[in-house]
Amino acid sequence: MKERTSESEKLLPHELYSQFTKKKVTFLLVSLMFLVAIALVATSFGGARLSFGEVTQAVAARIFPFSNFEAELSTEVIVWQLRIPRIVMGALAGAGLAISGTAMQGALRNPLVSPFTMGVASGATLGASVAIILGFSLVGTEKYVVVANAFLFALGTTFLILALGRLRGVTPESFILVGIALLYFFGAITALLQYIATEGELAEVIHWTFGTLTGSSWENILIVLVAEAFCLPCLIMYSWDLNAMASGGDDVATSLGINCGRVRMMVMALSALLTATIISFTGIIGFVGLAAPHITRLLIGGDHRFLLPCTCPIGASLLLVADTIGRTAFSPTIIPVGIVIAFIGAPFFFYLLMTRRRRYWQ
Amino acid sequence: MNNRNKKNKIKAMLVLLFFVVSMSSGCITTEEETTPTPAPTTITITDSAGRDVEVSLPLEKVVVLNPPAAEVIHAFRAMDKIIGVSESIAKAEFMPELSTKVVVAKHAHGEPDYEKIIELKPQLVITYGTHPAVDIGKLAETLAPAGIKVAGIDCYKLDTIFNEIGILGKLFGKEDEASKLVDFLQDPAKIVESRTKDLKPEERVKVYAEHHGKEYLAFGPGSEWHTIIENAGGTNIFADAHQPYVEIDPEEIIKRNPQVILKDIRRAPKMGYGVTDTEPMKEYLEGFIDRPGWENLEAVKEEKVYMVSSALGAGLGKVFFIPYLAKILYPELFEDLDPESLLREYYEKFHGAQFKGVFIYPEL
Amino acid sequence: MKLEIKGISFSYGSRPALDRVTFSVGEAEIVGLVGPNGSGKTTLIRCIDRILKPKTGVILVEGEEVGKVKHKELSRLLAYVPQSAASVFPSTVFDTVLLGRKPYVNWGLSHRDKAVVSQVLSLMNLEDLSLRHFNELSGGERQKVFIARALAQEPEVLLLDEPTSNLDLRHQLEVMDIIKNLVIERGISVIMAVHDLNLASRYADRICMMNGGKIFAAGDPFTVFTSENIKHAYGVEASVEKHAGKPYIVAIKPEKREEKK
Repeated sequence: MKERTSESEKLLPHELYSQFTKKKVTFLLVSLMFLVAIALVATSFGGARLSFGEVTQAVAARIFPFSNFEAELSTEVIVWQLRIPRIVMGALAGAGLAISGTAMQGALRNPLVSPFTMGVASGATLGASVAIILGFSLVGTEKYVVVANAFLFALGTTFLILALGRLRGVTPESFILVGIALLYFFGAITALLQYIATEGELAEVIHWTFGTLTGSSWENILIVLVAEAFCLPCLIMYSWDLNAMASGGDDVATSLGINCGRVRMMVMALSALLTATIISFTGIIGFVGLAAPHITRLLIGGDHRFLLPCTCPIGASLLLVADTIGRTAFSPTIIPVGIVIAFIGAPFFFYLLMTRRRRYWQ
Repeated sequence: MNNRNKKNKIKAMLVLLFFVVSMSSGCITTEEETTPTPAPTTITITDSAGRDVEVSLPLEKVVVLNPPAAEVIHAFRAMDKIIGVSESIAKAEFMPELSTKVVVAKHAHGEPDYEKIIELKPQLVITYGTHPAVDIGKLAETLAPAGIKVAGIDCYKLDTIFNEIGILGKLFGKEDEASKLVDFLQDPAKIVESRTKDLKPEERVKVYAEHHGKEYLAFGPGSEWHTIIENAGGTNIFADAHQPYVEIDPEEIIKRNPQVILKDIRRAPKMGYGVTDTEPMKEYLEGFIDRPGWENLEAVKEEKVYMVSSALGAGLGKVFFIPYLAKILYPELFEDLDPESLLREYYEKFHGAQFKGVFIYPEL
Repeated sequence: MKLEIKGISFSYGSRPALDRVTFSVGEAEIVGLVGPNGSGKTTLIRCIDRILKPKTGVILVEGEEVGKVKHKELSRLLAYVPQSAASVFPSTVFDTVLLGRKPYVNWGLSHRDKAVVSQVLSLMNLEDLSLRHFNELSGGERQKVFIARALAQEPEVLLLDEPTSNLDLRHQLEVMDIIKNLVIERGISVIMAVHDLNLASRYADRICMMNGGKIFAAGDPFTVFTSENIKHAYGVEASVEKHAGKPYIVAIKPEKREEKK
């Protein structure tokens, strides 16, 4: 073992590595603070012209009910019923979609995969269409019919894919192929449904697919929060396995003692669960699940122990910025966040591709 | 070293946040709503969606999203009570008083800017009750915590509009104006009905009516236009269709040979109140009848193809469409009826607006 | 016996790849697995490491059946070094080698884990490259990283699949010398599948020559590397000479013979 000599001050590899990982931890903290900052800024944007002070008062008034903080009812309603739920849901959705995408890219060893590759989106859209157009749902009360149906169909699709994938061996290729096949199949059924729908139903279905944070309520947030509280730690626990599978391949990973098939199934199932929960409420918000992993990877590398946690604030921030723009750029019209994010995301993604570091893509 | 820096940074942010919060607490104003005027009462109305809505009168601050309702309120001359509108209302030329109101939504359908509405603190929001793209339940639910009521008052369906005018009259304390408006609107239809109800089936003029949305998308039974055609004494050549809006086979039009053809016009070319340039309409009409086989249709040969603006074909205007159509179908029967003068009286007397525009082309 | 392979058969679907292969590897022994393409070398190695499940037969590591050992335990005994390949996702050298500690890690890294990695990096002369990106390295350097990763597993047996195919002359010798030293110093055993017969001859203690999924000849280099054997297995006429106490094979020309279907 080389000793540290006084002249060269050369650090041992593992000491260098410790510094290296400390930087990643710092990045995580910084990105969390960044997210908080963006959330704060987002609260002061909206159709109603409220100053930052008014917003803070309204927030404080409810958090500290016995203090001197008071706010007008209208301001409080705007802040607590409209803005904050939207922002919290946006952050949760962004984080959830980002981590799902990241985990799936690692498990399928393919950087072009997104949470929707597994047919979750087509399943959800089919479920929503069935509920809206046929008025038939598997379960759910009046209020939650579309949500529940979208969720069940989305999950159903995923488990169908998982089951079919197992038939031909639990390899990345077989999953992706089955996913694509189902995507087309369900897309066709959905299209047929839309063809027979009335104008109103069609409008409702299409509106659902846009992906919006409008209408986020505290009940919805609770459900998503529970799903995330469960799925996030589970996914992060697979960091080592994903590292091995993503960088070394199945053979190497197996030789390291990892059951690749099982890890793949579990990761896909968790990602699907989380994604399905989120998009049942918000509709289809694309792009975050594909771009956030890439952006984070470019910033801190592919070690999933840090990659998985860090994509969460990155994805959340992305979504919040998109939503804030969508809410304010064309007031009083609110452009659904799913649309905004495609607009700002695509060119941004191109930019990243163009200025990429060569080695990343070899 | 790194750790300490991080900790300091976090501390600083917390202190800053605390500072901001406590600073702004120094400038609290406890604002209280000045409770309005003498003798407030509450009435309960049943809106077009069948919902019972409790409204406290008098109404001083109302947001209106659907143009037909705004038109009725304007006809009562109660527009000063409106504080927020949709963009389509603000753009209506014959209601200039509303163009200065706060715009809270682009259209009535879809989602409005809830924040803007809440910021205005209205007592009531009026929108469509039965329009498929309006989720009135959601609207009501979102605005309820702020104490804002929502009522769906359609004002665009012939069988409910007169009742709805009455409801609006009650809401705005304009019962007299409401009944005057209802009488004025109902008169022409009554005249038309009385003269056409005895027409025998073979005497009824055959009409083909096309929807604005698409070529060969016809109005069928269940649509309002179909009802108007039948009420005006005509017969819809697609009365045997199964849906209110039906894509028909172009050959059928040739086979059924309508005597009058109507086209519903929405966005292009520009027609309706305030529009004076008829060139685009002429061009459109020439293009419209230039369809294969149409040169042999009776309606085309007799030059009885008409473009109908949305001022007549949609919303409140349908009430005036009936006399226009009756005159087109049976000019001899309705020689004494002048639909244009009805329209003129409507705009001048009820809206205080100068009558101008092209509502149907070519003019009768 | 460090590693015993008894009667292993394996088929890819309906195509048989291994037919009742049997041999064993002793302590501190290097076994060179040679044979033409498709003879089953790589398949055999993957069966040993349980990447593939053999249809019949039993593999024993230090007397324990591989099929019955927990996977995690197995990866502390057997380490696999694949052929050099670029990775799809970015990874530093240190991170790649660190994966070798997976069989020992639950979540957090102990000081020992990091120390082992450092050691292994210095052994393979990779210290200066420890934070470089894996895909930036040359083929030879990548191969060394893979070997380092396998060594980080602190295995009893190393399974190498063409460990030197992508290396230049210098690196080939460097790597093989390191492996030879490891075998002597730490007593690990090595099975390496190689194309280069002379490399096998020089470094392996025993040779297994495979052909058509069977072990065709096994024993010390001189016994196995004969002109007849080479002609039979490779379809190549060659002359076997002696150099530095080991057989040295010089290929002359491919034999003209009909294709056996």
